[in-house]
Amino acid sequence: MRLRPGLKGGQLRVLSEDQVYDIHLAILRVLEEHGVEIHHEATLKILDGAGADVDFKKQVAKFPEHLVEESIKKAPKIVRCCGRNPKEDFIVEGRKVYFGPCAGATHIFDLETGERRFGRLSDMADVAKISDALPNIDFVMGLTSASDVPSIMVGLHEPYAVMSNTCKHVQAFCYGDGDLTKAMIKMAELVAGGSDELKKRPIISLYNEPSSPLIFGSEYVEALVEWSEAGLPLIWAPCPISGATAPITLAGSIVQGIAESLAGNVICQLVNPGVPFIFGSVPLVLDMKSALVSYGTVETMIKEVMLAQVAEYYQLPSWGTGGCSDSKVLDEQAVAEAALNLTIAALSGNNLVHDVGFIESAKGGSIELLVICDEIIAMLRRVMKGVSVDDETLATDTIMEAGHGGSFLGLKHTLKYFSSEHLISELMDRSGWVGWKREGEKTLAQRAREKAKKILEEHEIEPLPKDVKEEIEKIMREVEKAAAKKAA
Amino acid sequence: MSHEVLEEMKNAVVNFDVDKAVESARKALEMGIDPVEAIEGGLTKGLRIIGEKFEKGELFLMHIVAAAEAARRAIDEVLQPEVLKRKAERKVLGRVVIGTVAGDIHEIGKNLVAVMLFIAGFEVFDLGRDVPIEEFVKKAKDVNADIVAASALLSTTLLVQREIIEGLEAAGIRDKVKVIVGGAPVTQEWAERIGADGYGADAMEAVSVAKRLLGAE
Repeated sequence: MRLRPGLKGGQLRVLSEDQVYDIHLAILRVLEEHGVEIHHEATLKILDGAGADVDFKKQVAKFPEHLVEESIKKAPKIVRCCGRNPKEDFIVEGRKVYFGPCAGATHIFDLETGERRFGRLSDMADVAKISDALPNIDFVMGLTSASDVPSIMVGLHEPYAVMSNTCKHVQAFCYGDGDLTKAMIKMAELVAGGSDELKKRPIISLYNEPSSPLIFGSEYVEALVEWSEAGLPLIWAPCPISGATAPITLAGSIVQGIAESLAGNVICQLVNPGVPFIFGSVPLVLDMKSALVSYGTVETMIKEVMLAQVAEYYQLPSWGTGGCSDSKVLDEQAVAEAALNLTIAALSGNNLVHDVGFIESAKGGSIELLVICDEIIAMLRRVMKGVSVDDETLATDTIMEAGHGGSFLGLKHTLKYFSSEHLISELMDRSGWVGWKREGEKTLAQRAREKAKKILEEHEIEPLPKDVKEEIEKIMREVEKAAAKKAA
Repeated sequence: MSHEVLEEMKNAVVNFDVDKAVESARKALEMGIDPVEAIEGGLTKGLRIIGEKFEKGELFLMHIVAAAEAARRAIDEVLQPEVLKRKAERKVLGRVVIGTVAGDIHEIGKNLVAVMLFIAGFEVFDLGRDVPIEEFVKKAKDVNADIVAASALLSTTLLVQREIIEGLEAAGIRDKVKVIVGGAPVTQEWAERIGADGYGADAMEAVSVAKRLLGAE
């Protein structure tokens, strides 16, 4: 069965082997001597039983070396991520890179009016549909956040809207809470056709995170445990901010972030040995002028590569970041930063590169940027595909055939090899001044917008079966009732 | 001679030297310099220089925090106890009680606002994080606060900001203080909805809002 091809990454290195090893030792030290504060009694008990050094009063667990290393071994090196359509499945392994948007940005830019406004559930459905159509987007989240849905239900409405509008692998952005997570798993089981089917072909993974520095919030641990018990792929990656919630130094912030992630892996592998775990650390920095978080600085890019190198050392699947910007609007800064960090993420080899399409430091979603990044990814894929050098492509015969001062345009060789050697640009304009004016003098942003709108008009998604939808909506009504009671 | 020691205090702040700041504050007292004069003629001058450099883009946040720490330690450990003993009056723009609301442990942003307010010339009482509503109210009463500043980072803890205003009303001091709110999920619209007096989208704005509310500058 043909699967989605990953882009072969991992070519870029910023650390030597010795440096990677030093980082690994520092991670072990932090976990063994300092530990993590976990606001979840039951999990502390599990860790205590497994040999961690737990202070129940302070709620701090310290992890001995062997516990960390055993759990790294238990985590699978090969993780299958599936879509409603099996042709959209892909395999996370080695340094294969896949791309997708995130969720959680409060704002989005309206495709019709260009207005920056709060995101709605319908936007998330649109993003899912567009991501479904974009050939180089592998996994799907809704880019923004649903401000028009009761906040206690956001964690269910969003993945439901996304799953209804794509047949690719879906990731659910975790808002915490064990009951909500249980409901989400039930919903996914309904779509997959049962709990065994879901485990065999996981059509959804969870993007969950601790609070840097080194605090695991109770609701997020609940979700971590529920998801692990269900045996579904899980991402547990913090967002340590250099200079604020993590060391200002690049190495130090990676040490802390990975320590936070690996501590999560220990818990997951104890709850359900062999559960697919994707580790990581979103490489953020504090801007020292605005006191806001930055996604687009060069330091975030360097940290991205460092993370991938440590992932390679552990042979664990990793969570990458790219295709995003600090710019407030889709302007030159946005495209420059997104193109650069997308390239670095691909070259680093982190397996699942998320945040594609984020601007305003992940507070804004730009569908146009997502569409532009899709084409950039296509270009990166072409670079990584490599070059074929053989008698045919060396073309000595053809060179002689064309003759001195001749033309290659009409040759059979050109016709034969054009599509395998060259990528056709769709959004990047390669015409002349006159041609460009004739076509309406459009900018890249305008062309991207038109492409997105065309997809929304023409692209068809196989809907969820009616009975599945009814069951899911029934579950959501029950959860909403129970949550309202709890809040009262 | 006293002029020299005030220069030392100013330079200690400008050079982020906590030990030197504390040491020269002690020297100032030993020399018989009035503690209020030591604060205003020495430390505050240093903070003003730091503030200007930050605005010009020559210094950054971590410099602000380090300089403020030097000044704060000299004041808290050496000069303020003396000010209180003498029942002296410090020239401050106003007294601010600030904290991150109950249920919320995020405080970096709030810490920055506290530092900026301090540098701007306010007397700041930082209650820390996960602060119960009653503590906001009690401290406001105890120090005769002009401003109560509440920070929240989560959409869930946001709601506590409204409860703080209700707490101030219940204690009968709502009309004696100005309430300002901030944090990532906070908006102007929310601030107005709960009856807050001001909102700042970032630390710089918080300072100008605080100044405006008290009619200072």
